[in-house]
Amino acid sequence: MPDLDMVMAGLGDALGPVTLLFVVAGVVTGQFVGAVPGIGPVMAMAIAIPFTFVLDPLPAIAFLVGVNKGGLVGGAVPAVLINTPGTPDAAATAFDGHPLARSGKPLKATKMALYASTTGDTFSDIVLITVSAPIAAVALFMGPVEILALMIFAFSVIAGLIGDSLWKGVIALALGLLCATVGLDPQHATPRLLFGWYELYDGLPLAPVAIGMLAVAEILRRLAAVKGRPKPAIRIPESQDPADRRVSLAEYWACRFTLARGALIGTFLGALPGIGSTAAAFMSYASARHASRDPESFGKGSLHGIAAAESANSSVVGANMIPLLTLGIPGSVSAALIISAFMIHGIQPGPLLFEQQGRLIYSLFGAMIMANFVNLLAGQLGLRFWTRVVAAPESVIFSAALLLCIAGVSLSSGGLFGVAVMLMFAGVGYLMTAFGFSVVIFIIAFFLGPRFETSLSQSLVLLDGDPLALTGHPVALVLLGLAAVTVWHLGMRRPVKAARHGAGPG
Amino acid sequence: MTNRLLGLFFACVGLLLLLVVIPRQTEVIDYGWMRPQSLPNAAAIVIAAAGAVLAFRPRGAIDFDWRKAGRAALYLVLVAAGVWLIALFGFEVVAPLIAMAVMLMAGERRPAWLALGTVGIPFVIWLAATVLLDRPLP
Repeated sequence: MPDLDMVMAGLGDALGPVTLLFVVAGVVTGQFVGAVPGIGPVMAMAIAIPFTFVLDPLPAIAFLVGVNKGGLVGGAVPAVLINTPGTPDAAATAFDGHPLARSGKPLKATKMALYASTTGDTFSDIVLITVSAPIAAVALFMGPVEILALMIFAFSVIAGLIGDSLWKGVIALALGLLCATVGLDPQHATPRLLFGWYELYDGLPLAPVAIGMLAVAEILRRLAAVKGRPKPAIRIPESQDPADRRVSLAEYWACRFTLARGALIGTFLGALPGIGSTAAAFMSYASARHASRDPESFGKGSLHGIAAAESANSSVVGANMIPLLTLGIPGSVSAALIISAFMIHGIQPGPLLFEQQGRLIYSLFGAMIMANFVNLLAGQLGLRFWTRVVAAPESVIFSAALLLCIAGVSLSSGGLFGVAVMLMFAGVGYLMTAFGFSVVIFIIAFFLGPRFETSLSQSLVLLDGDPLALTGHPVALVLLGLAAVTVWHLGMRRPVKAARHGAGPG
Repeated sequence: MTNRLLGLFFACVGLLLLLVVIPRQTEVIDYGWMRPQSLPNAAAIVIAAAGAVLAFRPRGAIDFDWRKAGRAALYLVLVAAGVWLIALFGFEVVAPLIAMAVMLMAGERRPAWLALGTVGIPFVIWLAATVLLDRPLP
């Protein structure tokens, strides 16, 4: 168990002025970019990572976590005001948020989203702080064979659950692993797949690949779809009944069970790799509607609908950090970006992290809790301003984002070769998304590729190439069995069920 | 039909990687459980096999529009040309031109927004990178 002195020292570090400043900057940036439809926290984190190179690890990671948390709150603003979710996970929020805004209560809708978001987020952070150290202690007993089996299980879940075709997921996964093998191979130090580009000796750089596929590809997609001037946001009436501009304590308390259910669903799903906040929000919304005494009110501006969606999608953020910090396995793209920031600062996430960098981890936990308070405060003060951001022209936003990507990648990779890699992967990312191949799976596989190869090599040596030797590793056997069941269920059974329900092939 | 063609495409890509690209781009080493080509070969086999299954059982949504893809390609070519010009003349000179070209292509004609995007944003980036972070821009 963690030493109490270390925990207190870590939490104390989180309250330092520099860390606090970066938490505030991250949350405000996150709320801002979340409020702009089409940017979102993932793109903002991808762009921001190169700029955090010069910072100490704690402020850098606290900033990125702040962007992620703030983005989820900001994403609800355009969902509520113009029925255009700033982030995919805010889509369920729009079901009730937009009707409430159209009925003349836009501030009430955005404030409910804010309160539900911070409630869910704080709950999942408390779960993260409570369970991650014990899980990491258990994970220390896992050897290379178990780690390999765990990665295969994670790959099977991610490939099966993200997107609507297991086989497209498998192709994206294999492409990610293939790209991860570019450069010197870890066993024999011989060059692989360089095609004469000696800059690739160290492999394809993570930041340009991630920024190209996540940020630039999305910018290209949005720019290609721009038609005319941006739609204006809903006008906020100047003279409103005060009760329509705020959420009373009684209204918040009336949603307590909905909030708790959403937080539990989001935390549980967030701890599993591959199931993102979008799925959590929709599942929580459906569950709240099912449990409601007045299900007809859903979709017509129900505060319960907003509370269910926002508490679930925000509680995924903290829970996503459980597999990341304890096992070193990112369960989502934002987690993969945070893990890459750890590695840029020379920190290897995984079970040893709590032994080697315990103070930093508890500082990070402290910063996450602080970020929730800042989120609440910045949301209270800034909601009126973020509603104006919705109307900012996409042409300016995206040209600025493109310049930031070019500058950020050239700073991180020390030249324009990284920018060329970024543009190449932007094209790849655009085509993959258009044809239904998940870039999320690609990025996670690309990130885990080197570790996967090392674990595979170590496992083959330990097992002496004999599959029957796996019987000496029961945990690995169970995980491989679960992976097989997952592939069978998601690849074979789900399509058959979908076909029975009338979903034809694409 | 598109998914079927995609499946066939990836089956062919997997085979091409396995039979042509990987043998030419990796060194042959004949000892140890893991060779340099082991994981690339495994990935190529998975791509070919999954492509074949996709061709046989096509499934999954597709959101491809030739006109939008053409516009996206134009933007990509524009930015690539801008990066090439940055290598020749530097970020400070070319970044405003890239921003201006992107905004004009996106249909922005309002002078205030054009000025903000062309002058204000490149200046803020220059300020953040060169002055605050003390890192040189390309």
